[in-house]
Amino acid sequence: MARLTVNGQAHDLAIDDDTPLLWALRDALGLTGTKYGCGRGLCGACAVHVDGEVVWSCTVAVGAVAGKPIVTIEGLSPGGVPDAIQQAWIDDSVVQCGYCHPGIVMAVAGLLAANPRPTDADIAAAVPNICRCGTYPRIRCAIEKLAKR
Amino acid sequence: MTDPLATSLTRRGLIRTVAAGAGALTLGFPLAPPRAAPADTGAAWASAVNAWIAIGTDGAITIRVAQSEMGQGVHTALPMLIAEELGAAWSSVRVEMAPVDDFYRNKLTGDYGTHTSSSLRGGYDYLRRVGAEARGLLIAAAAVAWDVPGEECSAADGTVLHRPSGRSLAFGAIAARALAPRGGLSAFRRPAASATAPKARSDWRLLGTPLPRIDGPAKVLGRAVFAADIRLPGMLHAAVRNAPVIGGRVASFDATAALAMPGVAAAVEVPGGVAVVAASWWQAKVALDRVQISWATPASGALDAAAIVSALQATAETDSGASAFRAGDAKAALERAHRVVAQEYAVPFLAHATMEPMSCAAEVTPEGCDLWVGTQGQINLRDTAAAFTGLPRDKVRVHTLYLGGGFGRRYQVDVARQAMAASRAVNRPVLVLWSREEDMGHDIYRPAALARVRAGLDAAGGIVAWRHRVVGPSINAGENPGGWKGGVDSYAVEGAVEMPYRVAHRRVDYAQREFGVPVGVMRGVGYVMNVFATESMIDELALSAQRDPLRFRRDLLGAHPRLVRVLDEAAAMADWTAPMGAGRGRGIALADAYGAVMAAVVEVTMRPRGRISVDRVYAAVECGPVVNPAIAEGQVEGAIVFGLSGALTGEIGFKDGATVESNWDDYRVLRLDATPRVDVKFLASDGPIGGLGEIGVIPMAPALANAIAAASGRRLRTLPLSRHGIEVE
Repeated sequence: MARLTVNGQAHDLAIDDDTPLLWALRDALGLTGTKYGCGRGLCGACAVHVDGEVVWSCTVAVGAVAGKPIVTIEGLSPGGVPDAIQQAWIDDSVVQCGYCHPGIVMAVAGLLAANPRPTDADIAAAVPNICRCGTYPRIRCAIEKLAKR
Repeated sequence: MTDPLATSLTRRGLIRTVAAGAGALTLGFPLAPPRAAPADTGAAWASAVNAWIAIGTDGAITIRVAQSEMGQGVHTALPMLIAEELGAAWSSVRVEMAPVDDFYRNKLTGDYGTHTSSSLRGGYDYLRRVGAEARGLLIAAAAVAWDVPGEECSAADGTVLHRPSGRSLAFGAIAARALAPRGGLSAFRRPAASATAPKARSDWRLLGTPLPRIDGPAKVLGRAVFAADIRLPGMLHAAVRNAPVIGGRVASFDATAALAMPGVAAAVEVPGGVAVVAASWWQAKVALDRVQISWATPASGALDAAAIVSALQATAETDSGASAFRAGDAKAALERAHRVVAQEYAVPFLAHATMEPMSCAAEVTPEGCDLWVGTQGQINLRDTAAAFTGLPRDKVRVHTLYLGGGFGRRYQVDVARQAMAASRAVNRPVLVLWSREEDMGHDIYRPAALARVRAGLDAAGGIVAWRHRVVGPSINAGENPGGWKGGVDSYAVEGAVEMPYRVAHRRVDYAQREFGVPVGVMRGVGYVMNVFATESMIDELALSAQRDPLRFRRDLLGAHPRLVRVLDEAAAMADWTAPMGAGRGRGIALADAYGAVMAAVVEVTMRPRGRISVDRVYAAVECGPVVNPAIAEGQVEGAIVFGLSGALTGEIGFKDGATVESNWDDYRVLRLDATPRVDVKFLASDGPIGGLGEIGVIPMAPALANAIAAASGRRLRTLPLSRHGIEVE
C-alpha cells in the first residue's frame, strides 16, 4: 500500500512499495502522459516533479515518494489550459511524434522555475532527455524565447 | 484540447463523428467510401468528397487523413490542403483517421501506409482537388438556396458569399439546410470546372503559413494517446521476452513462479517468445523475470562489428554481384584510366530506437479482431491480422493511434502478432508493450553494408570511370518481389544508381550478403549508405586533385540545376570561402531523394583526445511548394539530428547471435548538449512537391566526414565515427 499525492490529490494505492513511480502513475492512476522510454533513468521520457524537483519516475520507488507532492504533465495544466511553456511549444510546433515531450516540458518547467534566464550550458544540462525525432533545435529556440520574456 | 484521434475513436471504430445524417453534411451521398476511384463526374466526385470531408451543422469540419502521424506533421499538412481549397476557417477543422479501405490508398505508393516520404507527394494534387470540389458543391448549394448563379459566389473562412448582394451563408447553415427534409441538395448541379480549379498560389491563405500543429496541444498536455497509452474495458497488459538469439524460439517454459505473483493472469507463448499477461505492465514485467524459458537456439557464428565488415569485404572481393546500372563501359575505362582511386565505405546495422518501444493492443474474438496501434502500414497489418486469425479481412479493424516514432520500424507487424496471440489466449483485450531492451534487441534492423567505389581519373584529375559495388543484406529479397529484380535489391542501390555527377562510364552492382539478421527499412533507407559512399568519394577526389570540393562538385553537375542551386545556397549560408581557424573545417554533401534536393554544410572543430564539436549545420532544401514552413523546417532539423546521431555513435553489434546494445547507455544517440545550431532554408520553387520526411538524414554522414577530413586531414570511411575514437562534445 502506498499513499501518493499527485497533482494535489491524495491516492491510496494497493501496490508494492517498490513499484516504480512511473508505473504507479500510468497503470494505477491512469496518468499516461508520463511515458516509459527506458526504465533505467537514461532518457527522461518519464520526468515528473517531486517536491518541485525534476525526477525521472522510472527510477524512483513509490515508497520513497510517499506523501511528497508529485506533479505530472497533466498537473502542469489544470483544466487543460496550457501553461507558458506548453503554449510556447504549441505556437512554434516544437513537438514531432511527441512521445518524449511531456518529459521534456517537465524538465524545462523545472529549469525555468529555478533559473528564468538559462545559458546555453544551463539548457543543455537541464534537458538531457532523448528525442529521437531530433526536436532539440526547436526546444532550444523555444526555451530561449521564453527566457527573453 | 483532447487527443484529436482518441476523441473520434470509439470502442469499435473510428467512423462515429461523421456518421451520415447526425448533424453532418454529407453532400447528399453516403459517407462510406466509394468503391472505385473517383471518375470525373459530379456524382462520383461528390461521393469522393464525402469520403474525406464532413461538415457539421455547427460548422465543424471533419477532415479525414489516411496517413499516420509519427511526428512528420501530416495530420496538419494534409488537412491544410483540403481546408485551403474548401475555404474553411482553420479553427473549425478537426482531423480523424480514415477507415482502412482501398479507397484511401496513397496516390503515389498505392498503399494505405505511411512511408517513402509519400504523404504530401501522394496527396498534394489530389486532396486540393477534393477540397476544391467540396467548395464547388457548397457554393452550388448556396446558389440554389439564393437562386443566383454560382459564378457570383465565393467561399472563404467557412462562409459562402454572394458577392453582388453581400448575402452570406456559413458552411454549418448550408449543412443544416441540406439535412432538412426537402433540402436543397437534390438540386445540386456539378459546379463548372472553372469553379473547382485549385487556387493559384497567390490566393493561398493557409498553405505556406506556419500554422501550429493540430496534434501539438494534446502532445504537450500529455493527453495524446499512443498505443502504449490505450486503456480498454477489461484490458490486460503484457510484457514479452523474445528469443535472445536471433532466429531462436521457445522450446519450453515454466511459469509456475510467475503465475503465483500478484495480478498475473497468464503466461503464454507468442510468436518469437513468451508473454506474461497481468493487470498492470509492471506486474507483468516483474513476473516475466520469474519465467524459466528454455530456448531452441540456432547455431550462430560470431557476429561482431569487425567480423561483419570483414565478411562484407570478403564478399566484395569475390562476388562481382548483379548489375544495377550500366552506362558506357566502366571496366574498360578504368583499365585505360591515368590513375585509379579505390575506396571502401561501410555502415553498421542500426536500430530504429523509437522513443515509444513497440506496442500494440489487440482484441481477438471469434467474430473479429481489433488492433489499436501506431502503424505505418494499415493494409499490410490488416492483411497480416486476417491471415493470423483466420478471420476475413473485413472483420479486422485497425485503429490507428499516434506513433511514438516510426522511422520505418512501425511498418512491421511482429508486435501485433504477439498482441493477437496473447488476446486470443486470454479472451481479453491485451496491450503488449516491449521493454526498451526487447525493442533494441529485437528490431528489424537497418542493414549493414559496404560500398567499394573505384574511380578512374584522367591526367587532369577528371573522372572518366566510376564503379560502385554495394554489398550487404537485402531488405526486399523474399519479402517484396517488386523491389528485387535480377539479383538487385532496389533499396540497396538507391542513391548509388542515381549518383548525379557526370561520368561517361559508370557501373553499379549489388552483391547480397546475409548475416541472418532481420533487416528492414529505416528513415532514408539505402540512400543513407550509398550517398555516404558517393559524397565521401567525390570529396576525396576533389581534395586529391587539390580542388575546392564545392567547385569540383559544381563542375560535374551540369545536368542538375536543382542540385547546383541548393549547393550554391548552402555554400552561401555557410560563407563557404571564409577562412576557418586551425583545427576547424567545413564539409558539404548533397542529396536527391523522394522528389526533394538538399545540400548540407557541416562545420566542426577538432578538440584534444579525439573529441570534436559539431558547431553548425547549414541546409538548403528545394522541395517544390512548402505546405507548412514550421513543420517542414522541423522535419529537416530533426532529420539532420537523426543523421548526425547515426553517423557519430549509431551501431548495433552482435555477440553469440544476440544484440550487444540494449538501452540508451550503450546505443548512444545525440542529445541536446551536442546538437549543433542548425539553419534550414527552403528555396522558392514552382516545381513538383517533394517528400521531406527523410531527405535531411541522407547528406549528414558524408558532410560530417568531409568536415572532419577538411579540419584534420583524417578521412573516416567506416561508421560510426565513435569506432575511430571520435567523440562529440
